[in-house]
Parts: sequence; C-alpha cells; structure tokens
Amino acid sequence: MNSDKCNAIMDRYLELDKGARIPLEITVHLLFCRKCRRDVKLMSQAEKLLSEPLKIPVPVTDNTIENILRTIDPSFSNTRLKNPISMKNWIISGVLMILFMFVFVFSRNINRNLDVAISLVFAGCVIAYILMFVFSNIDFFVKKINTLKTAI
Amino acid sequence: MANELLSGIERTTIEKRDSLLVKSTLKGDKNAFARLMSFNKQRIFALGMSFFKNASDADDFVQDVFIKAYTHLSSFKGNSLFSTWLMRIAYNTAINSVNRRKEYLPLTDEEIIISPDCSPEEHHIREVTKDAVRDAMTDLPEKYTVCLDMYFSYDIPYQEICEITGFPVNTIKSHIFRAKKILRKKLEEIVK
Repeated sequence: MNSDKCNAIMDRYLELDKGARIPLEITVHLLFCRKCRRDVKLMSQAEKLLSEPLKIPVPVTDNTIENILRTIDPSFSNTRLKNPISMKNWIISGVLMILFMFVFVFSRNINRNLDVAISLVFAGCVIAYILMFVFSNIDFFVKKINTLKTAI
Repeated sequence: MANELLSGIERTTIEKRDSLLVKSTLKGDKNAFARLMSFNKQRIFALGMSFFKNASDADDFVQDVFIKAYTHLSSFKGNSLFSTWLMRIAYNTAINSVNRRKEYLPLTDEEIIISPDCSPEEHHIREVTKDAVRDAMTDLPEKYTVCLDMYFSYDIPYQEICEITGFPVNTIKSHIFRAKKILRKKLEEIVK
C-alpha cells in the first residue's frame, strides 16, 4: 500500500475519539492494508492496557469506603456490607429446610427403593447449607478461631 | 470495529448499572453507594495522588470527594457517565484545595497504581504506552498534562475532558493527537 495514503488514513484514525464510529473509508483501507490493520490493533490494545488498572473495583469492605459510610450515616454498620444475608434469614431458611424434610418424609408413601437416594439428596442439601453459611460468615469464624488461639 | 462495538456495549452497561445504583442510593440504600464508591475509588485516589503526592492526603481527598458526591447526588441527571460527573467534582475539589502541591504529577511518572497481572508482551506494550505519553507531556504546558492522563489512563473521551477541565476541546484533541502519533511510532518500533 502507498505509504502516504497509509499515513493520511492513520492520521484520520488517530483523530478519532474513544468509542467513535470508524468512517467507511478507513474501514475499507484497513480491510486491504495489513500494516495499518496491525497498527490500529496495537494502538487500541495499548490504550486499553493503560486504562485497565483504574477500572478495577476495590472491595466494598475497603476501610475508606466504610469510613465514608459512617460519616454519612453514623448508625451504619459494616456488617451490612459484609453479610448481605442477615442471621435471622439464615435461621428461618434452615428451619424451613428441616421442616420440609420432615414433612416430605412423613406425609407420603415413599417407595422404599428411593430411600437411599432421597437421604443422599437431603444430606447434600444440609451440607451445602452449612458450607454456604460458614463461607459467607468466614470473617466471624476466622476471628473466633484467632481469639480461641490467643486464649489458649 | 469489533472493539468499538464492544466498548459501546460496555459503556451502555456501565451507564445502566450506575443509574440503577444512583437511584437506589437516592432511595436510601447505602450499600448501593458503597458499590458506586468501590467502582470509582481507584481513579479518585489516583487523581488525589497526582495533586497531593502522598497517600494520606489522597485518602482524605477521596473521602471529601465521595461525601460531596453523596450530598449532591440528586443533581446527577445522567447526561454523562457517573464516573465523569464524579471526576468533575474531584477535579474541582483538587484545584480548589489549599493543600495541593503546585505541580501536577502525571500518572505515567510514578507507580501510583498497581497494574493487574498481564503477560510479558502486554506489560511491554503498557510500558511503551507510558513512555509515549510521558514523551508527549514533556513539551506540554503543565496544566494540559492532566488531559493526557484523563484520556489514556482514566479512559475519558475528549468532550468529557473538556467538561471536567474547562479547556477548549480542540486544544485537548490536538495534544492527544500528538501523543497518539508518538505512541504509534513507538509501537512500530516494537514490531520491527
């Protein structure tokens, strides 16, 4: 391809703003010119790489964020950020799950052949519930363990 | 072309997400505001570091900016991205602050922000891009260096930089164009 033409096209490309539509003339040129296509690809990759670090969100439990929320609302408790599910909801859902299991087992004639399968499904549900509870309150358990260690 | 399409989709998604979070915050949901802060804290902190040059003052600056944003949130009309609106508050707060140092420290000059993990090739391209922006800044009047940071590091388009800083859009365009030309030359050298 003609280098003057390439330079003119690339200059027009460089004038474009972020997210701007690429004019048809530039698109057509890029289809046929491998060098310009490579330059455009590198340019957009370079711009993307430089802006990437500032787009990474910080955790909502970040100290500065907690301080700001407390300044805005002194009654704000950071446990609301850390534990999106309250303890009351955990207890209610646990009780409901166990009730459902009892009702299911005693309210109908279950095929004896399915006993093992049903027990396994229930056991799986209980284990999943416990794991979810522990991992969503991991901070509490870690602190508890640390406190116990110090006490011992 | 695919890149432009993807960045358009990304922008629309961010716009929708932020507008929902702003609405929830205005209804009193503090968690929604916490999420808005989590998405924007890095950039406000980086701007603070450029103007104040120490982490403690930059942290105070972040708190100041977010509290101002929360107080004036009802004035956000959604005409621009929430991040642009927030940057305008941050820029004005920094410019008017008595604590700020006279000179602006460009993001490319120091490792103010931690770069995410990337391949050696990507790392090299990022360093070359930083070099190019730094080179473009050397001949630039100091007050315009922030425009290059806003375009390349904060990912803000021309018109929005103009709205934030108040500099003429054509001046911003020409400085960024020059930086892009330097970048193109440097990237060509990599390929060779």
